[in-house]
Amino acid sequence: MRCRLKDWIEKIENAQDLEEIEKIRIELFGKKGYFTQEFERLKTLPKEQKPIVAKELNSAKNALFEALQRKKDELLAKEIQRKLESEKIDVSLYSPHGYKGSLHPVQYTMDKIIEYFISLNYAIETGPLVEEDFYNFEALNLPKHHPARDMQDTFYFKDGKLLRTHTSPVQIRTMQHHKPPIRMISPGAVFRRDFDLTHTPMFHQVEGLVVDEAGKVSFANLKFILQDFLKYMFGDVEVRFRPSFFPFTEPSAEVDISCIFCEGEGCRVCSHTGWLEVLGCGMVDPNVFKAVGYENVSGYAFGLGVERFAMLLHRIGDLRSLFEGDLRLLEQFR
Amino acid sequence: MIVTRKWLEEWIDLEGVSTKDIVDTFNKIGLEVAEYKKLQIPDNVVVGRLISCQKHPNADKLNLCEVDVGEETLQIVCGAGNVKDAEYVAVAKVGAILPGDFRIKPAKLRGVESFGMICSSKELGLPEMEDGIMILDESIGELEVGKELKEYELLADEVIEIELTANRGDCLSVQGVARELSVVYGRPLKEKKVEEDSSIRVGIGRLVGIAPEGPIDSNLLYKAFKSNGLLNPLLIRFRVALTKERFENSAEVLAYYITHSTGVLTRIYGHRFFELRGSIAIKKDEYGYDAVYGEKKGSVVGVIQYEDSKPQDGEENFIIESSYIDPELISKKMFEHPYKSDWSFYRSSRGTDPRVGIGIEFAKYLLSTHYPKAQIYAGTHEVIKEIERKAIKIQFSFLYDLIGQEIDKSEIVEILKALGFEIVNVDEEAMVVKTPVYRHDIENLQDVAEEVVRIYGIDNIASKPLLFEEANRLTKAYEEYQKRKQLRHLAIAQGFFESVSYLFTNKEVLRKYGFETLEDSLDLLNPITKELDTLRPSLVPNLLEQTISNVRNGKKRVMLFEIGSVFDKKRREKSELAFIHAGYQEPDSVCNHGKPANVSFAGFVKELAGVLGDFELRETRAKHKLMHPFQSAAILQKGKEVGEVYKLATTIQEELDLPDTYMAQIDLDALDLKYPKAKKYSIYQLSLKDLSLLVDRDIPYAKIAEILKEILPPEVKRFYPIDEYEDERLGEKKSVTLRFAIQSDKKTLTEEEIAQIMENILHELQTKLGVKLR
Repeated sequence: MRCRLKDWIEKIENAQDLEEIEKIRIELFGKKGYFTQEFERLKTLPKEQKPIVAKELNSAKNALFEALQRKKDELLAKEIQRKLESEKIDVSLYSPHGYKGSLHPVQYTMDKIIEYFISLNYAIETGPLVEEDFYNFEALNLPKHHPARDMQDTFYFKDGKLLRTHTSPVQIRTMQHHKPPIRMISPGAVFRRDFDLTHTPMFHQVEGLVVDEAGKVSFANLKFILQDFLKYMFGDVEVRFRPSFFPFTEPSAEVDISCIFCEGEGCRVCSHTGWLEVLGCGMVDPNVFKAVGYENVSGYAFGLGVERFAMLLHRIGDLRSLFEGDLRLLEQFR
Repeated sequence: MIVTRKWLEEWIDLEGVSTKDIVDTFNKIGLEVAEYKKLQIPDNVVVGRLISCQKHPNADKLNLCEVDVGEETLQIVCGAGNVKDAEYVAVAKVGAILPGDFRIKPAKLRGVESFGMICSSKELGLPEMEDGIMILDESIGELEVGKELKEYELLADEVIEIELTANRGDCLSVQGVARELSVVYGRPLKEKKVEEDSSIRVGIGRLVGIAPEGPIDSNLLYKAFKSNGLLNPLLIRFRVALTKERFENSAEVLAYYITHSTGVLTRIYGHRFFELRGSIAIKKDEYGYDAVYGEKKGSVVGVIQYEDSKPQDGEENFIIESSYIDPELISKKMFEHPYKSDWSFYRSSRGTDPRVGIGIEFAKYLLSTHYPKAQIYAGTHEVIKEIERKAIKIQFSFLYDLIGQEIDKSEIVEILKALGFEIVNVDEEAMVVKTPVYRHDIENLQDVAEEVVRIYGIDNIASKPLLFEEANRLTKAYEEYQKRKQLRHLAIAQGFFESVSYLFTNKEVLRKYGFETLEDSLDLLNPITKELDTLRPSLVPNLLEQTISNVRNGKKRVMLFEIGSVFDKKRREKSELAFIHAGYQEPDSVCNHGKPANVSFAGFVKELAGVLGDFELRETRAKHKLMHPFQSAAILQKGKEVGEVYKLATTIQEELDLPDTYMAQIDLDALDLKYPKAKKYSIYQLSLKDLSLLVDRDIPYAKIAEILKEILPPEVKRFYPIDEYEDERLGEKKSVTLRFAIQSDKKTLTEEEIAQIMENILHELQTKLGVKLR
């Protein structure tokens, strides 16, 4: 028996696949298998031998059963492995390229700007692109003969209307329709009759306006919000305010950030000054409040060019390329 | 506005102050510095003295010069015509390297040797002055033969260009800019005066009279001088050239120099212009401008001087005029009656210095220091009236509130005093000041506050957050913005690139494509180019244009979208969302063996649905010629038309050399992105049953759908086409396969019940459309 057991175990161990295992199982444990026959034979043995042989048989049966099961598991694992291996693909072939589009850098920059002001509880307001002289100039302290109002810069229509040259008319419209306090931004397209390397006839602005009762809104408040905003947009930059002039604000200032390309050392982009001009701002001129019938109020306003921000943030060299739908540029923002 | 360090130093002592500090100061006080540069004169360029100058033996246009350069005398061939008038010149010696890496070497010109070059200002990298070489004189300092030219500080000066804001007419002069520095540095302005009124005793009245006629608005002051010709010294020519102005007439150079230096608008007339009349007549011209007349109109105050009144060749007597006219008055006048103007209007409309005496005093100073031939007549002619100065009351508390912090009162007083304000009265609460006459821009309290802020320094104002009332500020415009943002993000997920194009487009092209265009009477008056001469009626023409150039750049797959304003023929603005997809349906890759199919109607619609959600398509007529007449559909959302989707018409596609191209125009305002409300849904088994029908070929699917909608029992939750084909064996018929989703709200339907529903559907379709089961 022992000799037979060893043979069987060897046979099991040598089995190549599950089919062979199944065959051995039937040979051993099937209805006509070895053990069935052996137990059958047991009946014919003398009484005193029976328990000894039965015990031997049982232990052989258990051993073989275990060996068979072990081998079966082993072969099963191998087969699964083989199946999986047969499904292997070269994943590196499938790096996707070109399925997703991208937001336009100017619109994306606009989103980023809007997000900041929304988080500070500013309202968004919009207005028409075709404007009236009153909203675009007159109400903003730019009377018809004002030197700052250069005819050449404005697109006029034959019926006397014009394309807004800034988003400021939205301030006037908003103030006409709402009582203070006001806290708003107006993002949108604006138009100037200028077309060269650094000017396009259309570009985008975001303008901000805050109005509250007299004595409440100060230049110090304006300084705070713009310093914080510019750090949010450009990271850890220095912010510089330079007194300037706009007809609709007074005092007025232009705001520079330390050059993000050379960190203030001086380079081509900042014309070797170390500073980049990014914003205009000031305290709302009393004549503007007068034009909308506001009394005893104080307020600040600011405005920025979105293309300028986008070009700085995304290192885009050519302004005009922003309006050409050129995939060679746009694909880079995917 | 251009100033130089040395020019400023004529008006203020700048000893110990670096130019960098001056530039920083300008920026801090609101005079933005656009450019700063030091003029570089190359080494080995020296003062030379012409000993002789003869015609070149072999060339008519060349001169053979002997030039003393100190240690030696050089023979130099020179081509400039004006060399024969010169005594002192700039000589680039052998070894000098002029701008543009121009190296001076010994040369042979038409057989004659030349050892150096007599230079023009331009060749030295200085601004271009007159034709020919630069003739030196002692206005730049004592001329020492052989001395390096770069050592003359008046030439090797530091130039600062200030970008002046429109309100600062007072800084359109060197004196005005120096005055700003005097406020910051606390140093006084220098006065430019000569004690003697005249160098000849004859009075101006003996030369010419003055005849004001009727009321005029200007202030005018006249002085005369005699000179045999008018030769401007180098320093004046050089500085005027630095300002980038060009004049033919030498008297105008001088007049401009006086104006630019003092800020007082100054002109010079030739006496001959007034000789016949015998007097300077001043009166309103036919448009109501103040004008100066001789025999005819000689100038319009603050606007222009006519050629005839400028000193002519051989002129002996010159009349200097310093004038002032109120800037608002002249700006309004110009707006009412536009008039051709010269350099003066830019200044007069921004406000020149009304103290006309300063202009005449400076003229006298220049004539007596730089014009040895000039003799000044005694006395002046004048038409002068007092200029009112505004008094402004300043509440200190207003100032503090505006700035956001308190500033020491005495500091405020000091700042305003230094700026030329007259302090009328100061008490605890308020002060009253009178504005300086030359500050036309200061009219109210806020203007004064601006002055205080700019000199006090914005850097010294501590920023602080504003406390503001909480309120819901989510406006309609915010909702609109969010809608656009959502659509934009969905579009890029489908592979579209966001584009931004001009609001403008070409009317001719629009007409060619059959778009509705703006009514002519509402169109642009002054378009920037012919190509952009009207407002866009749709985003599609611009997107198509961009697609063409992308295809030309070799792009095989172009997908763009844009959201923007468009205008109908009445110029009403609405918002559109447009898509374009040209070429490959998907990127070429392993997945399609590098040969992706071109975009198809179905493929494009799938992309749109990824952005817009479900919609229905209906056949529609082509609204313009870009639309393919047989592949155009209306997009319906909840039964409402919101736009069109179409293939680019084949003829135009071929003409533009484009691959298959599909476009969509969506009316953004009509598009509904509202979050829907949930309905109760059935929990019972859903069955899908297909029905293949033979239908007449010309019956569109929409027709079948229309009938089905009428007859279907509530158990049919949805039906949709899943296949369609035509072939010869079917003859006049086509096969359409529909799929029906059947589900009851009340129970699980039995096979028999479902079969009965399908049976009924078929029966209805047979009777209503004559279809057969395939």
